[in-house]
Amino acid sequence: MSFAEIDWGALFQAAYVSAAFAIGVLAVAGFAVVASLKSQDRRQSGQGGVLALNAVTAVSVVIIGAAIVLGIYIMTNK
Amino acid sequence: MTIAAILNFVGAFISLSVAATVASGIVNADVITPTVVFGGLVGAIAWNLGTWWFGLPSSSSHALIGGVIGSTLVAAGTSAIEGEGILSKVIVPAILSPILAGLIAALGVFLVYRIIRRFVEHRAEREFRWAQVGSSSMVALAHGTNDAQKTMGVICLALIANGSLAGGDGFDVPTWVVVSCATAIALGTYCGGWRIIKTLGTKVVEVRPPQGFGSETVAASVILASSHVGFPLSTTQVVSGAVAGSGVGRPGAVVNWLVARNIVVGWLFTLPAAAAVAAVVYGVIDLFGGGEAGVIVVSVAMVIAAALLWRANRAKPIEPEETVSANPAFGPAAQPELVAA
Repeated sequence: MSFAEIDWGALFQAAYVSAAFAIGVLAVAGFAVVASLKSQDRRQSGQGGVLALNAVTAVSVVIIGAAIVLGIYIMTNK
Repeated sequence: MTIAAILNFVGAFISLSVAATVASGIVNADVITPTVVFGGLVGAIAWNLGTWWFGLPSSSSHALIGGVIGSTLVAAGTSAIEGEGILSKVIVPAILSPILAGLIAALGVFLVYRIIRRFVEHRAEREFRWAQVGSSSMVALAHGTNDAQKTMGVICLALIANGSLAGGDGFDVPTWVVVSCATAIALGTYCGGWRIIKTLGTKVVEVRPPQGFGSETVAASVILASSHVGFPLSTTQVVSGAVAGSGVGRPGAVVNWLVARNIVVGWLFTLPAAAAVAAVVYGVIDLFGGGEAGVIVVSVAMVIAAALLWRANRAKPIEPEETVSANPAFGPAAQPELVAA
């Protein structure tokens, strides 16, 4: 039993994949929330750009959904 | 609870890498008998029930693995233990996963609060509350994927011991085993209650919706990525690490390191304690000749103990509203031992 036997490659893979996925999803979700709140503010004040901000929110949600589906696809097709 | 139960069920069908690790990488399946598996399971169940009662989020996975190791040690000696497999697939991931989850959660939650900083916090929190439905669903899916497989691995061990399943690296998990484990974990989640949720949701750190979303997303990512490479991680440890990390990442949040320390101490004891209980159980069965009589005695004792705990839990239940923190509990003025993150 030694540390040389440890599958460091698999450990590293699990670490960087989970870090990249989680940070990516959190950042995209943060931008989606900001876009949604800005859209609400602009609608209330009668300013333009509401549609574009709503589109940003929608695209962000689609990106997160696609990332989840891709992750599950990769797992089920190992 | 219903959504979590359904997603736990679905998650059990996503991958079988962890089941293969548990069935072939922890102990030598050739020397395992059904009594060894039974002893291991009782050891794990006893430890789980005890920690559940005290609201300690200990790892069922490590209890299960510890139980199998303990009864195998007594039954077949140290030669039957796959030391390299345990170090590589259990101990190192167990140490690294909560640290990794904590670091990623701290960074991710800090990033989220930077992005939303221009908005009044409670407005953004309302949006994140909706996002949490998705992130907590992902945790349920990840839990089903990783945790149901450990039970599949143990059932496969019993089947190999019984001669009903061929061992070796390339064995197939029978479909009925997958379906049974998926059903069991879904029912367990549905009936689980709020005791441990209260500890994680209120005692480690006051969890606000962006933090909850962050810690859940991180926990789900770490568990799913680890399941893919076959590490039988503890969902409990990963979630606890992510929750504590989310407290570090949120500006102004306070982490109760005293509770976090108690949880870590519980983790350190889980594997050896479950192994010790399993060894005792195997010894008791052996006292009765190693046959059915011993198994029946232990089973009756376990049923009585579980019934007593169930009755005690009904007399002192934890309600859903108790899982949400009352803000004043978190703050250096209220509790001097709290350390500002």
